[in-house]
Amino acid sequence: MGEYSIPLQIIKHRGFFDHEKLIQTLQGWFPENGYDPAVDLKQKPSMLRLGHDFLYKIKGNKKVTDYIKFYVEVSLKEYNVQGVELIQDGKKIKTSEAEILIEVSAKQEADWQKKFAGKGEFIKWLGEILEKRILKYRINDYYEDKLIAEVLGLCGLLRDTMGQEV
Amino acid sequence: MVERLVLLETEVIKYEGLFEAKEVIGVIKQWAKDKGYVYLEISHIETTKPEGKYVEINGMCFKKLTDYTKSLMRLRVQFNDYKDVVIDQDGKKKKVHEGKVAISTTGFIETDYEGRWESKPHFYFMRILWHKYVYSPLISGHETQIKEDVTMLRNNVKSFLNLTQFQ
Repeated sequence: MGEYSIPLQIIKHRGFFDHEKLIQTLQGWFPENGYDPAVDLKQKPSMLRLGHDFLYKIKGNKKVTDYIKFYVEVSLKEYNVQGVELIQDGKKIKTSEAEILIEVSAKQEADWQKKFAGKGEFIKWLGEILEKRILKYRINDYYEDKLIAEVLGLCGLLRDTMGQEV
Repeated sequence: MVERLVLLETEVIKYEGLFEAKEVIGVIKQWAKDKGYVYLEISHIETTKPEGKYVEINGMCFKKLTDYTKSLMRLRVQFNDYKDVVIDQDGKKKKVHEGKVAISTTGFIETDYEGRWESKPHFYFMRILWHKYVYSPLISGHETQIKEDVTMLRNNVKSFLNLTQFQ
C-alpha cells in the first residue's frame, strides 16, 4: 500500500579505481544480501558505453516478510574513463581513471502483495489500521533502520572498492 | 508540510595539521550511536588534486523523539589539500594525514514530520493551538535536548582535534 523511501545516497569519486572489481562488487552485493536477481526487463542491469562514458543501472528487491518488501536501485555513472598503468610497490598495475557518480536509492513497500487493496472499503480500512496504527513503528523504525543499515553497508563497500579513504 | 526550526546556527570547526580522516568521522559516528541518532551520508565526494586529496561529506543525523517531533542535525565535513605522512609514534611508524579540516554543524527541530496535521484546514488550526498551548513545554524540553546533543558533538570534535581552549 504505502511506500517509504530513505534519502538518496550519492557517492562521487575522481581518481583511480578498478572498473571490473566495482561492477563485480555491485552485482555480488544483491544476492549476498538476499535480494532477488533482476527478473523483468526493467530490472535487468543495463549497460551502455558512450565513448568513454559508462552507465550502469541495477535494481533489486527483497521480500522481507509477507507484508514488507525492500527495493534498492543503484545507478553508476563513469565519465572520461581512461585505462592507466600504475606502478605500486615496484609492480605495474593496470587500472582505470575516471569521474564516478553513484546514486543509491532505496524504499520499502508495505502490503506488496496488495492483500488489502481494492477489496472493498472495509478491507481497505483494515489495511490502513494495520499499516498506520498496528505496524506503524515496525515500518517507520525497525524496517527503516534495517534498510538504512543495508544501504549504508552497500555504500561503504562501494567506497572501499573504489579505494576511498574516509 | 514539515516545519523545521533552526535551534543552533551553523558553526564551522576549522583545523589544520595532522589528523586521521577515518577517526574524525568515527567521532561523529560514535556520538550518533551513543545518542541514538541515525547517521546518513547524503553525499560523499573524494577527489585527488595536484595539491592533495579532497573529501567532502554531506550528512545528516536524525532521531525521532515522538510521533510529532524529530531532532535533525545537518553536517558537512571537508578534508582539504591533505596528504599522507608517516610519523613516529612511541617508536612505531604510523601513517596519518596532514591538511585542513572543516566541520560545520547545524541543529534543527522538525515538527509534524509525518505531515498528519496538514491534510485539512481545521486540523492545521488545531495543530497551531496544540503546538502553542498544550505541547509547548514538551517541545521546549526537546529543544533543550537537541541543543545539548549538538553542543556535545561539537565539543567531542573539538577535543578530538585538540582545539579546546582552557582559560
